[in-house]
Amino acid sequence: MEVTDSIERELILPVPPERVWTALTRPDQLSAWFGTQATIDLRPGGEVIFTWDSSTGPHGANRGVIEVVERPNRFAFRWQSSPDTEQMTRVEFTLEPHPEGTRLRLVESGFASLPPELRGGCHESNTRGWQRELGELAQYLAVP
Amino acid sequence: MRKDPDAVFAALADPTRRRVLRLVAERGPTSATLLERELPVTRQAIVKHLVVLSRAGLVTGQRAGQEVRYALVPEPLDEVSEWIAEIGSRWDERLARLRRVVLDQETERS
Repeated sequence: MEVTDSIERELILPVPPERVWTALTRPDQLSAWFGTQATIDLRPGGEVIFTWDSSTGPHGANRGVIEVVERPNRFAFRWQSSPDTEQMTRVEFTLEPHPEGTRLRLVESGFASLPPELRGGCHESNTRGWQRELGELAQYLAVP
Repeated sequence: MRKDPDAVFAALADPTRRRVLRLVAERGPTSATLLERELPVTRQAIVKHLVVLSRAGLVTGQRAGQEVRYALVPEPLDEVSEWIAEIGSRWDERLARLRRVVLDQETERS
């Protein structure tokens, strides 16, 4: 079973890292693609606030805390990825120069605080599947 | 979003409770008395864990004579993994918009 505890995406953008950095961290630009209104205090420990309108999901505001600001290579914060949960996850963007522009990597992690049994992301939706999967996991998981 | 995932997260946060759930999954419908033989905790504690799991919708109890037998309900677990998949697809949408934003800027500059 493939065990993943994060969401990972990678894309190549045809602009230099510095331009991608601006799109990720400047409030007006961030708001333009994030799907929320964003305000951001760009420093480690600074606050980022995403205000969701009802078109992108439940209405409300999520507060996050910025963890890493390494212009123009790394930007990371912790947040509730959805206003309908208290679950805190960590979002990290990594920017690298690429012959075509910038390689942007996104990792949202912290689903690790989910129990290991849930981290598959390839769950079969029937009981038998779960029973087998839990059984297999029981064999290699250290049960405290 | 089908359901608030927090109740499921909260129910699964406790390692003993996860062990109880795993045993219920492996054994099929089982009682607190049977679980007690396999776990280093009191029957009373196991009952409490089963109540929490039941409230979160992860197990369901059915009376069988003198005892209650608990069975796994897999749907909430599936809902949580669907929820994570949903968060992934939100990122797909956002990153597609990000691409458009930087491409638009590139066009404006040239």
